[in-house]
Amino acid sequence: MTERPSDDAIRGMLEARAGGVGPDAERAVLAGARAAIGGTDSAGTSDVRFGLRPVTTTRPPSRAPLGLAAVAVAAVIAVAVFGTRPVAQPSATQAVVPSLGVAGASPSDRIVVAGSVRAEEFMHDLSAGRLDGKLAVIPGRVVVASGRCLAECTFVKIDGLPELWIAKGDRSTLDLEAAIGALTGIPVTVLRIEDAHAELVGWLAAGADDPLPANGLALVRDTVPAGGLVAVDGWLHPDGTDGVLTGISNWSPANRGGHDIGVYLDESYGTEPRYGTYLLRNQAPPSRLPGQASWHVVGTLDALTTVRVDQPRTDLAGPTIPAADVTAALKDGSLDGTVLAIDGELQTVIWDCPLDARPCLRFYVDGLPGIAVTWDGALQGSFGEAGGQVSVMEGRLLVTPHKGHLELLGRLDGALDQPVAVTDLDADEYRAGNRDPLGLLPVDGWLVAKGTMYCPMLRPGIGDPCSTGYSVLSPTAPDASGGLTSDTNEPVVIHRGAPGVGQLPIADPGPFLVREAVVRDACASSNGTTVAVDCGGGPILGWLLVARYDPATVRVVTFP
Amino acid sequence: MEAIVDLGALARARDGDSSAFDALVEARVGSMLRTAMAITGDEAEARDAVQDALVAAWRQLDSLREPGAFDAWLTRILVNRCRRGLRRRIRIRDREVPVEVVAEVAIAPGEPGTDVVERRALERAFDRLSVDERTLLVLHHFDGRPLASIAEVLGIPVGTAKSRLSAARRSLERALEREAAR
Repeated sequence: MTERPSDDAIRGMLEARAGGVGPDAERAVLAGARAAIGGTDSAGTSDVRFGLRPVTTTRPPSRAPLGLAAVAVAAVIAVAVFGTRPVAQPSATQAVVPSLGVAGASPSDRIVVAGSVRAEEFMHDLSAGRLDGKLAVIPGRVVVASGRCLAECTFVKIDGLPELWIAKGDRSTLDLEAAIGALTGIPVTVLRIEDAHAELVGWLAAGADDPLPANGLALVRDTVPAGGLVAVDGWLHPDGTDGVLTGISNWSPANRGGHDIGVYLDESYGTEPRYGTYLLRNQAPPSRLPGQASWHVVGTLDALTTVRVDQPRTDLAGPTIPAADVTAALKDGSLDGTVLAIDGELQTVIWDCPLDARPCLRFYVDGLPGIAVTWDGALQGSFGEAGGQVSVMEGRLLVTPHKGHLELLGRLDGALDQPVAVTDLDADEYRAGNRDPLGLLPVDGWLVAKGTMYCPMLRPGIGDPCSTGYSVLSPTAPDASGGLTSDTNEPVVIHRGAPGVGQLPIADPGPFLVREAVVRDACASSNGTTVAVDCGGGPILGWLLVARYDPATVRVVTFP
Repeated sequence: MEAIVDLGALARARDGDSSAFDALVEARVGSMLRTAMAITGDEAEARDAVQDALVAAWRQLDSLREPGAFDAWLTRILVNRCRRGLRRRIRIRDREVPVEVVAEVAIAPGEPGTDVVERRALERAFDRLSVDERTLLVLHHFDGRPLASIAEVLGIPVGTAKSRLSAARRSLERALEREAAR
């Protein structure tokens, strides 16, 4: 069926699809709903009815004990604020490891397997489980990202794929950081997909543009790091547990040539010679001698087993501004209230604390010396130890100039010109998804705020009273009287001095930048009609709206 | 999901009469399940979405401003639940609709324009679409809703619904071409 599908064909397909509902589904769903509402039995007997409708709305149940989750997130935020959160990633300006026939001008030119999919399609197919058992090859800048686990949990992220959390496998975090630190250029990451999740296989160090010929392996063995991957074309002559990769089809121990490469593999490759493109990993120890390599076949790269993904979009639309102009504009305040994007690294520097002269740390961005970066209006970071600079955060930082400083809004998670819909915001889901607590998410929708705007972030040891007002992000415009017209609104609190957000009452269209935050948000009601003042329930995760922005006017700071 | 709205029952439900609410939704749960199933393609996902939607509807009855728009309001809650459920699959893989189940669906002789193989290809192409695109196609082609009704359900202008529906059709055609090339 390659012609346009008819309406009848679509209807027929959907009717068949909908027909898969089991015979007991209606009864089970009704019984489940009745039980969920409460006061009923879950057996689904016919005389069971819904219980009393609650007067106030309730939040969905947490997937972790609320107090524990809140403490964990607060700790992550505190660590990030106080400057010891380990984050490592490569420079965006480094170059790819040379390999035979490599070094294409653009990563998008790389050819490993025929055909490719867009990043959005990849994520869609991944989540649907359609890529299970396959390898994925994705060019893009990579970073180490800390998740929110009680035990160690470190993931790999690829720039432009904020939803993709890549398991690091059996690598230690230190090994992972070292491997990423050694990468150059725009790395080409290879993932293995299982159960709709991605696990890191490694990075292609050679053959990323065009697979190497089998006899080319000898030429790159000294440049491929331990653990590095290579794509190789050739005949594989397996004998069960190892084999030979060569350019000739009739290879045998008797007629071996001078360019055979011995490889290790598992039994799944059988014993029949096969021509193909193979993914090899160099498993020689890091302390290997020159010329020493140990090649293991970790997979085949073909259209059936591999999906190649276009490099995800990470570009920012909008004008640029030189760093020198930012420095000048901070003095006269002409940029105050705007949003600037900086591809850079937030670092700390030892500073004399103004109050007690103890050494403490201040934030700054590499390339903008002497300009303090503030967090939630505060100048200083934490008490530091002598020893110099510490990198605390790297990536696409969004800041807003404010009274001579740069107020850090967060790190962009996603694309500014591709905001998500309000209906796709789900704090509970985000909490479960190991999102970066400092990640900024662009969101499209309407901000409707009537009551007190600001509900302060909860800090360890500080219990601020909760405001009685509420604000929501709504997918649809409010009516003329300011009433909400959608039932799927997301409660938000508004960051003090959020750029682009005016005075109350507010009914403004977005897009906005939000980040997940620990807030005292027990005050908000989801339907906007009842404001229940009960702040005794402890901290609750919600969204902090930090700015309204125009995608076309976010200025990207450039450095000489 | 277009049963006649018993405005009296709805009013009683808004006053907290659970029996009235029960009667209202009991007549609709079947069509809700089929709509959810058409969007998600997964029975477990569809059941969860409908159950969540019913609970949410009960709790949010106060926010229903136009009693006559009860069905559109309920459908909107349902599609939002479907959307969230599908997004959650990024981390929690739920069961796919087994191909065998689709294959077992009886195809009546002369059924318009498709056979099992084509239907499978079309469904795989449909699964490639975004949740929003699927929703539009389901509301139009399966629920048989006109554009005005789709716009009401999704809370968007009619013109926007029209353009998005056209875009969803184009996406389906492209996905089908991609399926054919596999």
